[in-house]
Amino acid sequence: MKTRWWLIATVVAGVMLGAGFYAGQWDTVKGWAQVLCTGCIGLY
Amino acid sequence: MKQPAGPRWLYYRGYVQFFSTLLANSYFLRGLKGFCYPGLNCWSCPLANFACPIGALQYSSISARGNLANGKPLWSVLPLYVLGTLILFAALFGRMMCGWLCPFGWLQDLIGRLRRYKYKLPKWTGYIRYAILIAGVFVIPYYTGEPWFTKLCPQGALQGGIFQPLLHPELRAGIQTMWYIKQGILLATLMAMVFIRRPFCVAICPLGAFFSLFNRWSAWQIKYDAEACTDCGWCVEHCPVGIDPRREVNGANCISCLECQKCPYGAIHSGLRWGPESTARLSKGVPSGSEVPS
Repeated sequence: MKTRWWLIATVVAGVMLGAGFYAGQWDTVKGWAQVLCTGCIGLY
Repeated sequence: MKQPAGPRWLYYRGYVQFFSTLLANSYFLRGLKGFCYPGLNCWSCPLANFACPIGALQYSSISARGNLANGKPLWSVLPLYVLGTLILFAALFGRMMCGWLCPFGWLQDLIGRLRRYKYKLPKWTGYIRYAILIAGVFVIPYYTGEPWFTKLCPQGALQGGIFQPLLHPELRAGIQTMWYIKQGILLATLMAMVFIRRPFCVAICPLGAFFSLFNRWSAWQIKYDAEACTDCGWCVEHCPVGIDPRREVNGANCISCLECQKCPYGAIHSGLRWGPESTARLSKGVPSGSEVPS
């Protein structure tokens, strides 16, 4: 049987996503996104 | 003159790109800013709803150094949430987000229409984006503490660098040399879009580089039917990234825009791996609808 890499990757991604979410990384990313990124707008 | 064919939904790609850009920049969903949008969309745009995954990865690299120095374990500083989101999209759709969802990809398609005959970047330039992904997104931010890709990103220059200073006079007062360098990079990129087929996607984009790692074995696949192909070259002429779909569909440079699926002879199809026309079946040159020889 051929290895279904896409399925393995999907499951691994789901686990990573869940673990990251559980560890509060959603809020961390949200925090970064809400602060005006001066590098993004080229001010430094 | 050969007329394009293929299923009707293929012809709505421009609308999908438009609505994707609108969704990412409609302001009213800003409560979702923790979600990483699977396309290059600047989170500093005044209207942005979602986070930029490349920006989030850079800040993860920067904060990882400090956290490791403070004795935190390695697993706790890995950007599991951002990588999990990106791998999930990539495992299911490969680089399809580049062709159908990315706002900067759409901009390249629109500007590319200004000139019909465009140059094609040599194949080796496709490796530059991997170097940018590793160095610009992970290694350099980790060691310098600065998000260097973000500082030079043309999408940031366009969405954040123009609109934020327009809205906020105090930001205009803070404009220095770096802002002009960034706008110069944007201008050069815009010019390149006129003369080269999707230059940013082919050579620069670290997000595209990440997705392309999964393109070969994602769930969504493009299928080439060698038997139906007449070698007319229609697909090569119409490919927005300038690859030869007869040889390179699902390859690292293919953005799965499915323009080649409009093949007048129906030689290219796409679908999920477990669909009725499997990749293996078509790569043997077996025409769709006939039995696979045992």
